[in-house]
Amino acid sequence: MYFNKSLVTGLVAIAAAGVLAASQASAAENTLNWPSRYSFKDWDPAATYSEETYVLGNIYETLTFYVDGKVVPRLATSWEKSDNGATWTMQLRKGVKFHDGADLNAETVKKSVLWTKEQNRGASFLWGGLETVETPSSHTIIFKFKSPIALDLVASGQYGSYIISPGAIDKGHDWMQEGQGYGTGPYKFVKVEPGVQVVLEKFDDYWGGWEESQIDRAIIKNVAEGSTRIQMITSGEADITAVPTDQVKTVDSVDGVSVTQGTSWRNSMFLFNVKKYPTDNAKFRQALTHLWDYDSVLNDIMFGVATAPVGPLPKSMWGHGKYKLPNYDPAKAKQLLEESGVPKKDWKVSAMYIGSVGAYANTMELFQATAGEAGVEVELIPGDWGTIWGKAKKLETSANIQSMTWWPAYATPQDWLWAQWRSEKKALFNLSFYSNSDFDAALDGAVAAEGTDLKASAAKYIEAQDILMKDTPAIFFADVDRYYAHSDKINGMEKQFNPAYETLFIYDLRK
Amino acid sequence: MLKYVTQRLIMMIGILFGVLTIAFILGRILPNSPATLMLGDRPTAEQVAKAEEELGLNKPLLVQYALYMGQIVRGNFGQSLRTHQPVLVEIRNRMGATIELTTLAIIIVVLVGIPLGVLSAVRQNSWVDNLVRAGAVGGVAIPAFILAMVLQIIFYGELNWFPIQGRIDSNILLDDPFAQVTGLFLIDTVLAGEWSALKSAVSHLFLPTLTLSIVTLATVTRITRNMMVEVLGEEFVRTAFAYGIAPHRIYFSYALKATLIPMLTVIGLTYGYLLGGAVVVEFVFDWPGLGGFLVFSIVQNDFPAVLGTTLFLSGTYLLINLIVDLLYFVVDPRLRTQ
Amino acid sequence: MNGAVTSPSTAEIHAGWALRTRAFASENKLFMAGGLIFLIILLAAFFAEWIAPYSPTKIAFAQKLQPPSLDHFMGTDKFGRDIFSRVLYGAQTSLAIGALVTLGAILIGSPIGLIAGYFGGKVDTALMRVSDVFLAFPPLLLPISIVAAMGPGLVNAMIALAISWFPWYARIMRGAVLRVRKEPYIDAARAMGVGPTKIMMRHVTPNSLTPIIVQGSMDFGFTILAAASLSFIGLGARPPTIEWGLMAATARTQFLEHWWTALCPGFAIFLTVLAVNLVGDGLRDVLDPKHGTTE
Repeated sequence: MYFNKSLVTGLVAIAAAGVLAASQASAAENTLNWPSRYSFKDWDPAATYSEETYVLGNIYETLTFYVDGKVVPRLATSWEKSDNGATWTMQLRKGVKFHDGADLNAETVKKSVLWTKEQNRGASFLWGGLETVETPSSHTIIFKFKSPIALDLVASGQYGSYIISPGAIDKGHDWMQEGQGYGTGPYKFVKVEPGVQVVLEKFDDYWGGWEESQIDRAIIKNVAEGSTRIQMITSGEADITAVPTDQVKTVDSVDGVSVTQGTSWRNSMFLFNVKKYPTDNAKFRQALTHLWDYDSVLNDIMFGVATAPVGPLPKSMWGHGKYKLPNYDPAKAKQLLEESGVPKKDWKVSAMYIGSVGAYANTMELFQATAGEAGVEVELIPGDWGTIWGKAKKLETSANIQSMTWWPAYATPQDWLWAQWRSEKKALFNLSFYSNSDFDAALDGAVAAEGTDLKASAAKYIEAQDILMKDTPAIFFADVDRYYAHSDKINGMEKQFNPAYETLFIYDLRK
Repeated sequence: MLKYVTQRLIMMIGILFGVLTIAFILGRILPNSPATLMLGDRPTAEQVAKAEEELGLNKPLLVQYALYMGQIVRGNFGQSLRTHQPVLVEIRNRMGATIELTTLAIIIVVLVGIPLGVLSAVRQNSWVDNLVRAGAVGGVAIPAFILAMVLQIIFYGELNWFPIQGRIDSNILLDDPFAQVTGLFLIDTVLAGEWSALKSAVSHLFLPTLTLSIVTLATVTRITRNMMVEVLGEEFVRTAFAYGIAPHRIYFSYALKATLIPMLTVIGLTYGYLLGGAVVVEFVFDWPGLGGFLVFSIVQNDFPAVLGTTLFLSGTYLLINLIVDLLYFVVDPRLRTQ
Repeated sequence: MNGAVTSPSTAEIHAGWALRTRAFASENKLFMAGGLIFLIILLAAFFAEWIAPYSPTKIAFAQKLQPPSLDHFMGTDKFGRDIFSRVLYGAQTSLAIGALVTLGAILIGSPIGLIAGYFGGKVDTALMRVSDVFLAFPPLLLPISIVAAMGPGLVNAMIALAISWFPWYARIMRGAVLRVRKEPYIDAARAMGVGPTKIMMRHVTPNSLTPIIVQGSMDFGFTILAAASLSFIGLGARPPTIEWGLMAATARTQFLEHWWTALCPGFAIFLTVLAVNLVGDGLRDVLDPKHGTTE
């Protein structure tokens, strides 16, 4: 009896110790817990055009890379363009492998680029002018385009320019869309549970090599509620996450947690629908721009996470125009309202925005109050992006004011100006329904020049913006910094503020 | 007996059919194109048109209805527009969480509420009775989400004893995954012998279960008390007292038995309240169950998911009521001879 | 004194009333308390414009997120607005919701119950099956689905709630009609040629009034709770509407450090529903002493 009892106790103790030890050992893997609100719909890097880029930049890579205002080598080591700017010859990096073991060479790059173009999804239009691709040697590739193009910039883009393994291409778009694929990046897919989580693991054969204390595994859990993410980061359960702007100061003051921010190419605005009454009236639009409390928004709602914009493009982007934007002036607004000729009973506008984005919700509530004081009634229509976008594209169901945060596929003013304000027969992103042939002409000129002469191109882009700004197309209210709340144990955050990429580069983090 | 069961089953199917029809009508009123939801942020106009074709949104309403019914009968609840998974799979992944929460809550509610109600009725108008009644009346008036926030402030904000979101530490699921045999973490972790996982599951369960239990407890206590009071006023009870039967026996053998049937009804109804209350509680605690999934799907306008989840929850409620009805047979011999 | 029946004097009548009222009050303490609280809330809502110390909509970032103090009884929210003033205006919203939804459910349910009871047979079965379907949903689930389909908004939420609640009143009306039909004086009235509508109006209405009032007073509180819950999950009221559930929802990102932003509107909900429930319970005790039986 006595003997058995102590034997059992001993065995139990050993077992318990064993279990504990085992759990400690496997927890030793360096895991990054990154809860996010992003909704991932299409993991195919050739088709994706949305929030997947936050993660995909860890799995796939581009030929070139944009950093600190320059284009530097990545999968391509050097390149040169022909005199007419339409033919580009690139040398590819040797010794790079895809996650499935395939080699990176001219043939595989050619297959990837052509496939992206043929898919005709997402940002593949960037390669629309591609005519032929030649592979004179195993690591030399020649791209011939119909017209001049800044390919070094395009190929560095976070949309449409990822290089995909032939093995993944053979499996097709649908297979990749679900959350599978092979790239050359430092991390590979382990598990994708839609709406629940994404798990990445390090790719041991990554060409960049590995060091101590880098991240071995990343868990990107889907947590839609901002308040929940705040609790996760302050309790230590999460290592890094985005928190609502009005909580940035509170979260930063918690021990062991910091909020780091840096420049980005994102800017936020509320577009005016220029074809819908009464915002089709120019003076009415101008009046509305004076009812926005710019300072309160930047200080009390955005909490210093954003800076005052100077035009339709963020200050950090080349080719941006500088303008004196309107200020908060209710008296002037009232005067313009009277001058506009719109009868008082019609001083009603509707505003659609993504309800779960705190910045939009709060700024809109503020605008509703300030506009209300001047006699303008604002109807708030929050919703999720899918719903809103569907309604916004059709004039009958669109609103007078539309929220928009923009960031470019690659480093060019074209991305903003073309997508949002160039005449479109069927609205896609031109949710202002703006159509001005002078603007179109100037923009076309700028795009054509981009492939050959950046300076001339910049000048033409500014010309286009000059035309645009005269028509009061939107309330530009923030050049938004990128910011992350993160545990103090995480190092390497300085590398996360390359405005060209929305991706969180896990490879650069150390824990 | 068989006749009774078949009758009830047929009625339940009929009601289920009605529920499905309502769900279908609701689903088609949704104001935006589900196609845009399926594709990414910036699909081309052609891609959208193609998706709408695939989803069959161009066919006349009656045809859609027939197709929909046919699919449901075959167990196809459609595909989530957001995640592209079959809705049933999404439901299956999350139902364990809701079952665990609601079952725990109902156990607590029955074990605490019924005795409290009985006690209150037996000692009518005493200070015990008044206290219980006051608590119940108060409890019914507290909104579940406010109670949840109060508990969060106290037990997380101030004391930091319990977490306030999720079901278990996410590291555990990846580092030491335990076999999910039942989908109920309490059972699965014990079966697998993962004690730290069990600890995490319990601490995550504490606050949501407490919230859900308290708000439902009030209702159950009130109803139990009222029923017991009525029964105690009945003839046969007073007769029993007159005969000098020990009060103990009267309460537990006679009176309680008489309340069993209405009690079963109450428990059935309570499960319904729990399912409804679970929606709000799951939302506040980020509990990965069906309630939270429902709210999330609505915000995302994922109508197959919304419909599927509503159907599933309503179906469960109907099933429970059916079981309650069948239990009447077991409890009340009088019904068997009908 | 010699067998002569004297009619009571006015003073005696008044004394009688006073005695009865006092007796009633002491017996139904909770009812009186509830009634008093409800009255206060009603008055507060009615006179909100005069009582509120600040404008409920004036944004003043300099004062944001201040704890309760003499200046601001319930503190301020993230926009610097005085929460006490907003709670007062919120009372208007909630009381209106309670009244309108309950009324709506009665207006929808009564005709249905009347028709079912009067015509009987297949019509009755059909209508009752339909209301069974509505009752088959767990509470809150049907309103949630309806609002999900119609789009969020206070009006839609109220419509959804009224639609979900009507079966109760349909049943009550139907029950009343069935009871009345059995009465002998109905046959007599019919024999005399009195039309069916007149019968309905004269006899069914008073018969059903009591249970409807009882049910309605109990539903009033639940309606306010349900509407607040819907607003909390984002399916009900939206800015600039001032509604207690919505106030709690917007406080979600700050309530852990600033408890008053959520708990003050929460307390308002609690107090109102409590008062209404006490009044409802009291009414039920008075009007329907054998309560507990639904059908």
